Amino acid sequence: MITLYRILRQGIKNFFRNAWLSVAATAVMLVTILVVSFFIFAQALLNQQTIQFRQKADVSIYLLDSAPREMVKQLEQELEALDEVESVDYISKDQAYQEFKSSGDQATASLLEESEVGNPFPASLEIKASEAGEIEAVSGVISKEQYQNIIERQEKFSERLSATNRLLNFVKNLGRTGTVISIIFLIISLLIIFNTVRMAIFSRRGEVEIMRLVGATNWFIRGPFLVEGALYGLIGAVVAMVVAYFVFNAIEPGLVNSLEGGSDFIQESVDKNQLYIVLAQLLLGVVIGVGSSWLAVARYLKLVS
Amino acid sequence: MILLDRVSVMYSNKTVALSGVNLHIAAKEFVSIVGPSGAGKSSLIKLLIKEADSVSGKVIVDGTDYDSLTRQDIPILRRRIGVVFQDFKLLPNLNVYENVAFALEVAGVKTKDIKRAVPKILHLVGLSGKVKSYPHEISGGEKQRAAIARALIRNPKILIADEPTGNLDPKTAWDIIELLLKINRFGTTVLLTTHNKEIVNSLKKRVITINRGRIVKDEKVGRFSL
Repeated sequence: MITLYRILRQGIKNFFRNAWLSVAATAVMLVTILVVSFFIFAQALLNQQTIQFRQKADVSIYLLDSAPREMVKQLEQELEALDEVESVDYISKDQAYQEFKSSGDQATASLLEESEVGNPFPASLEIKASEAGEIEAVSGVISKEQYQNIIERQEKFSERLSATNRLLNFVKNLGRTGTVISIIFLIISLLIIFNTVRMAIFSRRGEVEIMRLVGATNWFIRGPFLVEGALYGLIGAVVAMVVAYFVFNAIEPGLVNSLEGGSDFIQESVDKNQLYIVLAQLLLGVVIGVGSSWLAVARYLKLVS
Repeated sequence: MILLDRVSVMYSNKTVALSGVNLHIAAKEFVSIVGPSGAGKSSLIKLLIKEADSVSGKVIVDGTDYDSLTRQDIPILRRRIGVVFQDFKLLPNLNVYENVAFALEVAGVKTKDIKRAVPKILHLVGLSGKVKSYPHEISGGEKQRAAIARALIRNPKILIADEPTGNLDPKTAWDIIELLLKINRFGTTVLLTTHNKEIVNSLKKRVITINRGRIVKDEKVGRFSL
C-alpha cells in the first residue's frame, strides 16, 4: 500500500520533471483520442442518417379515383407478399384529406374547404421497405400491365434507389476509412509514447541502475513509468473532451440544419452516452499510455537483468 | 559469512573474470581486496551482489546459496548487503535525506519508521548538517558518507566498499576509512577494495590480493603488494 503510494508519487513527480517530453506525449495522445472519437461520432451520425433516409425511401403509390377496390386489394396483397416489403398501408382519399387538414398548411386547407373542388387528394398505398436499397421488387410489381389503370403516379424509384445505395456505400466506406485511420493513429501514438518512455528511461538509466543496486524490485522501477504513461492518457483524454465539447457546440447548429431529423438525435445520444463517452476516452488514453510504457520498460528491464 | 568454493565467473565475450576462487570471510571481519585493474576485484563484488553470475562453483553469503536465488529474490538479497561505490551512485534529484530514505522506501518501510531511522544514521556518518543538500551541493567525502549511510540504513550484515576512496583526496579518504572501521567495530563485516597502498598498509587487517582472476595472496595482517 505504502509502496503503491510511493510509486504513484514518483510517477507524478517524473511526469513534471520531464515536462517537455510529457507535453509531447500528451499532445499525441490528445490527437489520437480526438481522431478516434471523431470517427466513432461520424459513424454513429451516419448510421442514424441511413435509418432516417431509409424511412424516407419508403414509397407512396397514388391511386386513381376510379381504381376498383378489389384491384387495389390485390395490388396491396401482392406487394405485402414481397420479402423486401415490411408493410403496405392503404390511405383512403378521406384519410389523406384529414391528414392534410391536420398537418398541412392551414390557409390552403380553409381555402379548399370553402371552394367547391371537393377532396383533391388521391388514395394511396404507403409502402415501407424492410431493407433500404432493396425495393427494386416493388417496381417490378407495380409496372405490371394490370395495374397501369389504377395507378395515378408513383415516385421515381430508380433515382431513390441509386441515391440510397450511394449513401449506404458512402457510409460503409467512411466506416472502413475511419477504422483504418483510427488504427493508424493508435499505432502512431503507441510508438511515440513507447519512444518517449524509452527516452525517459534512457535519461534516467543511471537512476534505474541505482534503484536496482539499492534493491528496488522491478515493480518499483516499472511502476512510476506506468503511472507516467497513464497520466499522458488521462490528461490527453480530458483535454480531448474539452476540445470535443467546444467543437461539438460550434458545429452542432450547422449539423442540425443539414441533417435529417438530426437535432434531437445528436443531443439525445450525446446526453444519453455522456458517461460512456467520457469513460471510453479515459480508458482508451490509459490503455495506450500504460501499454506503451509497459512495452518500453519491459524491454529495458529485460536488457539489463 | 561469505563462502566461495571454486567459483568461476566468465563474461559473455568469454573473458574469464574469476577462475576457481576459494574464499572464506568470517562475520565481523574487515578485509581489503587489492590487485591491479582488471584483476577481478569488481567481478568479485558483482558476484556478491548478484550482478554477475558464476559459471561454476558455490557462493554462499549469510546462509544463502546463490544457486537457489530466483529473479524475485535478487532485490531482497541486495537489501541485505550494503554497497558503496567509487562514484557514489546517489540519485541526483534527491537530497541527502531522500537518498538515504530511498533505500528504505524500496523495501516498503513505513514513512514513520523512515523518519526515525534516517537522522540517526546521518548522525552516525557525520552528515547531520547536510540533510537537505543535493548531491551536487556537497563535497566528494560528504557524498561518500551519504552513500555509506544509505548502505547502512537497512542494517546489513555485510558492507561492500568498492574503491570508496578512489575519487577523494587523501585526508578525506582517511575520514571515510575511519568511518568504515567504526562501522566494522559495530559488528558489520566490511569488504574494501582499493588501490590505495598507504591505506592498506596502515590498516593492519586481512588483505586478499587478486591477480588475473585468482587469489594470489591472503594474509591475516597483510600489506599492499602487486
